[in-house]
Amino acid sequence: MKKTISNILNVFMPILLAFLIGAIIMIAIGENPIEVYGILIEKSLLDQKGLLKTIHTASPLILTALAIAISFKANIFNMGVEGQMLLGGFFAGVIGFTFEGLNPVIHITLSIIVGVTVGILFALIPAILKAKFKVNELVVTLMLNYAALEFVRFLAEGPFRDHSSGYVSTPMISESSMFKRLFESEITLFTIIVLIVFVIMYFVFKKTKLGYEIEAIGKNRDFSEATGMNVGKKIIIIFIISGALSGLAGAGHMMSDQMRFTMSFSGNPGLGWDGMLISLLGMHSPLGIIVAAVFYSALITGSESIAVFTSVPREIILIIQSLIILFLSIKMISKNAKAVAILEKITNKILRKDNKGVKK
Amino acid sequence: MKRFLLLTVLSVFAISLAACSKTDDAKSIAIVTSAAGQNDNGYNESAVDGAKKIKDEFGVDYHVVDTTDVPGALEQLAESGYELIFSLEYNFDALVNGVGGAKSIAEKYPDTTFVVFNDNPNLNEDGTVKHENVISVVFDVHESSYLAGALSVSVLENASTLFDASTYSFADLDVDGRSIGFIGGVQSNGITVFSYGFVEGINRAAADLNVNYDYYTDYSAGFGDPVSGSTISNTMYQNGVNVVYSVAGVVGDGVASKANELDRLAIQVDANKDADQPGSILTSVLKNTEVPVYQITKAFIDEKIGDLDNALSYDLDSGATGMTDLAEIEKMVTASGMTKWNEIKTYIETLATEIADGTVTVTDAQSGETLDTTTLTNVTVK
Repeated sequence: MKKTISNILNVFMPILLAFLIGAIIMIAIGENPIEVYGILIEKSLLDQKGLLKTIHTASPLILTALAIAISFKANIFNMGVEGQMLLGGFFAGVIGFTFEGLNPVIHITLSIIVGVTVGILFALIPAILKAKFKVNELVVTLMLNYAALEFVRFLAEGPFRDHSSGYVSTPMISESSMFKRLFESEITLFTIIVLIVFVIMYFVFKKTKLGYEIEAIGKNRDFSEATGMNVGKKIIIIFIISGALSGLAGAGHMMSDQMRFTMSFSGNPGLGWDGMLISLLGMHSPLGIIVAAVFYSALITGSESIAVFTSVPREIILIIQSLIILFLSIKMISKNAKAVAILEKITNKILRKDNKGVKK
Repeated sequence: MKRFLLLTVLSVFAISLAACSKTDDAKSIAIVTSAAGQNDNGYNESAVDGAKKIKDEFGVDYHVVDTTDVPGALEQLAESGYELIFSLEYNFDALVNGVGGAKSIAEKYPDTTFVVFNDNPNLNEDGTVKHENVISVVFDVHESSYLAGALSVSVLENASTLFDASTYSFADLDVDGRSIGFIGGVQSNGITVFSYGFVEGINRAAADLNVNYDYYTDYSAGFGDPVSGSTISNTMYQNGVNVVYSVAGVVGDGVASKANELDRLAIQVDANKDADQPGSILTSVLKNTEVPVYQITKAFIDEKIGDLDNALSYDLDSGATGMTDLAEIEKMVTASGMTKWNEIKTYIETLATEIADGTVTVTDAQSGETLDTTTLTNVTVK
């Protein structure tokens, strides 16, 4: 019971603190914080249309977060989810606008297969480099994001450009490859697919040998190797799953939300990076991820409503958003003994350096 | 158990907050800004200025929305009763066509008039109007860019007469060759429309003066990084380019500061930014959203919005596009150069009249025209 209370406090303190600081800022600029927070929550969680929109926004984020979680859990840092997602989304879009008049089921399936395959292929580059040549995957995946972004920019400006559009954009995907909207809201079948994938991933994480192996590699790679596990092969499998999830996220985002590729396809900071944050907030556990994703999406959709219904500057809303995230991550660190130890070490080092400086 | 408890507390918390909320039901006009936001010192800010003017004159309130979700904002605004909404972002699919089997927003809210900018997405294949309640606004920036091109050449060719020798350190036209540069944010019709008009203007003045120019272009500067503007323009300036025209948001600020550093010239875009780097900015090509916002809102107040065309094109005469009054650069002109300067100004005015009466037609990439490089007799595109 004591633990439950501390857990609740852990979740609510940061949110309340962030809201409180936000409220002070809003009072300072002459806005009514209760009204603003009311709109934030009402329009994103309590209103039916808003709630469905929140879930719709959360869908690709759940996938990118899972893609991060599966690799981070094994202590393998796939920072390339953003790039894998972009490529997956782009090529799903190419299939989407190239064909017309196909049976929707066939067309959507084909687009998804292409998106997922592209995501996997792109993730295989760092996977093979890591597994066979021990190249640091963090650097490779991180840098490949820029390569992916420039590559799709080139394709969108050149071969796949929509000539009738004044801005950089591919043509809109055809009707038959769009996920149809349900219940007069923004939600589509894609969300159902995400939920199915989520259940599968939950099962993989918790109930399969692979899930156990991922955890073992994460805890001690050398020991896992010594017990006879083919770690190199597992790393490739982890990257394949991660790339597939990212590619699916991109394809789904294309076919349920964006409908065409523009340079703002992934938004800012981008679905991949948002996914990383959500995965961290959810402590890389599937259930944690789903709660964090819905919460994070509620912040996004709710803050869009604040912009529409009040005159609070967007920057203030962004500040509150970042404060919540900041406070939540502090909690995450305080729970993680290893992180605390590292932080202590760093502070000690800095302090010692300072002392030396004083002595001189 | 833990999670249920957590959820319950969360929802109680949420409901108690929501109960205190109220929605704003003042009916007025709304402006949905593009990604640069309402304080961009240009495109969006001018639109807001137009709305401010309306508020001062007629007391009609306005509401500005900075958003990343344009369709969502349009729908929410229309839903809550706004009858006139300006959408400055390039994002039309959901508004005009509807996506994912949903009705288009324009069809869903027939009592709201939506105004979009820089393109006319509101046409069927056969050229008929899709939605009567969508108005598209296009600026003839190719024409103003044409004037800027002609001005650049005229000023460069007469630099020694116009300016004191110490004011600028231009690359010697006869030694380093005559060249002018263009920096665009992306390779798209919305950007090339400026470049094509500009190069045609250069060609016109070069032909009139019987000289030949090189034209350098870069269409990949993006819109957000002034530093990249400095870097790209530096390369151009080092290679003998004397004037760089940038159509790339704040990238242009970096170009202007580099021009200031090297004592060359830059041309800015959207709003009048001539005074940002006095003397280093030759002129700014204006895309003044204030004019259409004011005019359309006025028609809305007079209940004459139905009389407006569904496609409005703002040309040089409308004042919504054109060059600045050149006041800043004129301060640099020496007393002895004034005669020549006035000659150049008259020349530019002649060109403007020729465009207005149709003697000169400038390529309009916005409506899908492409530049025929064979017409550029006195310019080599690099």
